[in-house]
Amino acid sequence: MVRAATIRALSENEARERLAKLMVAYQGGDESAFESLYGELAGPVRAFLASLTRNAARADDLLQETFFHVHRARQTYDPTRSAKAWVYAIAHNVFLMACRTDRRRGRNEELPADELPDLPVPAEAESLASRDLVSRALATLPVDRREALLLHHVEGLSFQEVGAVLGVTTMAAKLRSHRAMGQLRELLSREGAR
Amino acid sequence: MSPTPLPPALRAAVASDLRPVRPLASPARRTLALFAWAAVAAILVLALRGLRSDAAELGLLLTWGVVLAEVAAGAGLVALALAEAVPARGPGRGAALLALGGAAALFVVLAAVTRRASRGMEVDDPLLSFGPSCAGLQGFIGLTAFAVAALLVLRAAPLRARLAGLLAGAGTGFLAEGVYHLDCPITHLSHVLVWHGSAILLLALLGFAFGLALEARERARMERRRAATATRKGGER
Repeated sequence: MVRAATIRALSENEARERLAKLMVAYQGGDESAFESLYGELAGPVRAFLASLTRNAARADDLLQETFFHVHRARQTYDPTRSAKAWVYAIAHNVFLMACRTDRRRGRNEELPADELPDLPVPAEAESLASRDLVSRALATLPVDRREALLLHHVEGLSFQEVGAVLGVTTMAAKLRSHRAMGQLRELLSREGAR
Repeated sequence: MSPTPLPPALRAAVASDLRPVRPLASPARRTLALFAWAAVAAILVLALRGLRSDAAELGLLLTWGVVLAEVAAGAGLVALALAEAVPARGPGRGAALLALGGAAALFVVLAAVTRRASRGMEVDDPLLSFGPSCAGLQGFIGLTAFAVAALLVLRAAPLRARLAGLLAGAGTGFLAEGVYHLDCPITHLSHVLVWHGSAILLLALLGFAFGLALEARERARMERRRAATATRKGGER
């Protein structure tokens, strides 16, 4: 168990360093570094956005928008910090801006529960029920809790990074994630009892 | 999971602008520009209007010490605005509001301490006499600082631009109040809190409006790109 956690931490550190190197090369004008960065992050960021929007097509739009912002803001990346947290902060904000626009225009693009895209599932919750059930239960959580849970448990960001992405304190990020996990367990146990 | 292909529009946008960029310096370092601004503004105020008439009564600490404290508080707020303008670096809404509250409390305490130490220039009606001219002059001084702060914010990528703008506006308001402390000899609390305070408030509101405008511009850009993507997808079908 300890060994598995150590290996996971080591691979996360390696991934962090690789992303940081790609970002630095990209800041230096290397197009292939941008492509590699996109290749590494587009999948998870798209899944994150799909979990927020609950609409796969909308998530694709916002993913593209996120990387437009990444490109315009590339000078703000600090190579000593997490590139992943930096990209997720942009994605989170792109989602908020899209929500604001949708509200103003009276648009609602959330799909009904039976048409939801495949959402990422925290490893801790996989043992509680089937992947599909966890994914559906996850979609019913409040957005702020859902994103804290996904960023920490699925994307492996530290609570400090989750706080920075969401613009809240580390404690608030921890609390949101903890409450989301509690709520998820409760939902799944209720489903299991049926 | 199948790899997500790089959209052609994004590829084209990246390829068209691949000039190397230098990572921005830390928010604290970039705020140093505003200390330079404060020094120049203080010299200009002293050269054009002279040191306040009750400076001897106030002493060094309550003349220059107050200036330094208010300039430091203002620069601190601008540094928070610049941190807020960098993704995943901002202080968060709670900490930002706490900092704004702290700076406001400092302003009130320093006004009270200054009043206690010196009666300053007595005027007929402390609430109205010289009020608009003080607020106007302090506001003008603050506007020049705000121009610098807004440029620094624009060079980054403010995600919650209204918060970054509010912090930058309020920060430049406190910077201007610090510099203007060298000039205004009226220490009556109703004058300082209402007129000097309103200049700070106006600059904070200006910053907030600046942030709102940035956010609106960003949303409009997003909508345009969304419409273009939808048109392209429609054409492909």
